Amino acid sequence: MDYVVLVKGLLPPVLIGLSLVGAGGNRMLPLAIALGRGAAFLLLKGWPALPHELWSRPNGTQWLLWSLLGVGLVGSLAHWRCLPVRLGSVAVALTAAFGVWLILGKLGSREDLQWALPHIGTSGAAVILLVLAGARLAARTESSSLMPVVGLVVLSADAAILTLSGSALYGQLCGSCAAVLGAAIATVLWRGPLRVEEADGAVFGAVHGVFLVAGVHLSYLTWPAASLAAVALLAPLPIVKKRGSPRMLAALVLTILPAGGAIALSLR
Amino acid sequence: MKALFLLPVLLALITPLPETTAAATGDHDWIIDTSHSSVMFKIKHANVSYFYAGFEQITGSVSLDPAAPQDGAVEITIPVDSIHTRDEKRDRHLEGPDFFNGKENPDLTFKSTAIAGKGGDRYEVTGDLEIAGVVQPLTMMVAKTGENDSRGGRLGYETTFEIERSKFGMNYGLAKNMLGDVVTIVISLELVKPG
Repeated sequence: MDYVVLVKGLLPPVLIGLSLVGAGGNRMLPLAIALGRGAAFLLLKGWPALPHELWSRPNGTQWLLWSLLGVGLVGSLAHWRCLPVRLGSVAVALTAAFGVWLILGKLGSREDLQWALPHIGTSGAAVILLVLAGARLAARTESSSLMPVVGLVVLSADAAILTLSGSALYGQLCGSCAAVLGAAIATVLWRGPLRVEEADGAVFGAVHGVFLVAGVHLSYLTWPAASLAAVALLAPLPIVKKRGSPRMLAALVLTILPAGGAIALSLR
Repeated sequence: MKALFLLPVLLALITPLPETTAAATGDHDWIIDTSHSSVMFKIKHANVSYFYAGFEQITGSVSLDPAAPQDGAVEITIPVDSIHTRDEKRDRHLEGPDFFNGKENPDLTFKSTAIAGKGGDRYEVTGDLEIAGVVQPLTMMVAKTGENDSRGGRLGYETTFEIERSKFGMNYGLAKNMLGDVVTIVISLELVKPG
């Protein structure tokens, strides 16, 4: 891969993650992820079309960007307690599901209803499930460092499988989210532990799900690889049932195994 | 009994004829013979050498009266999934979101908006080229390459033109010039009569 492109896709998100989370703390995390991804897109592809332009000339990749910006904003509102805690995760889930409808809109318009309903419906439901799983996992592990590490593993694996399955752009955009999270984790050096709250977990789930859906429908990510990658966020849930559970290492292994499996499948 | 024989005649009289347009049946209307037409392109790789590849399918129609070229029309459709670069993995990458975004935009299309005769058998064809969902105006010089009467008549045209792929949102590999921006495209059409 071209190192100039790599730098463009990674350096701005890292700087945004370090500066926003470093200065403002974990409450800036959802916004930092959204802005980091936006900066990467700007440097890699230029200015995206604005939403009102996309209504008349839809483009799934650009809708992906705007949808996840929406997810970041709603996640930030939830984190800042502008929305009730429970409602926050649901709002993130609905925003992400609406994003799926926008991203697959052009594809769906070329197909008949028999294709559109199950594909868009299943994708939307899968994203909602991942958002709620991310929120639940974050809520159960708020006092530990598990969730940021799980998020980093999951999003890095997504970036790898998206690149391997035919889209360097999707890989880099997803990788930019992982880069922001990695930079946020690095802020523990001077800020202390990074607490990932329920709303942040919901945002991780949304980013994870929406990129997998885009990879399957707009690129050439296979269903088995995407399903395994999705499981990486779901698998730790059953063993971290209580706050402060000591089974964090096992939970991390349960994330790494399916994530690694997804990468192995994509390498074939 | 005679009435029975007259029935088909009566039916033929009252059944409306299929609507036909001059464009679909005229002497100067042609369709593209996919199996004898070619779409090739070249692009500079690593700022070193030209890489050549093509598309295996092209369909469309040409309506061109040499006496009145301004009344003509050209429509061309090239399926993205017919791209062939002798490497399946590379084909898939080209079909994906980094380049043609083929799942959302399965075809490259060209529709003429103006045709002007340029003397001899040369024409200047202007129109809209749509690639990866982005429409850009394009003007190309088209030259007649030959004709004969075999199998109802055949006619050949060829054009070579350049596009900047970045104008269609395809900027993968532009950094460090690993893959050039300018793509030279050659389209050679063999036209046959419709039907």
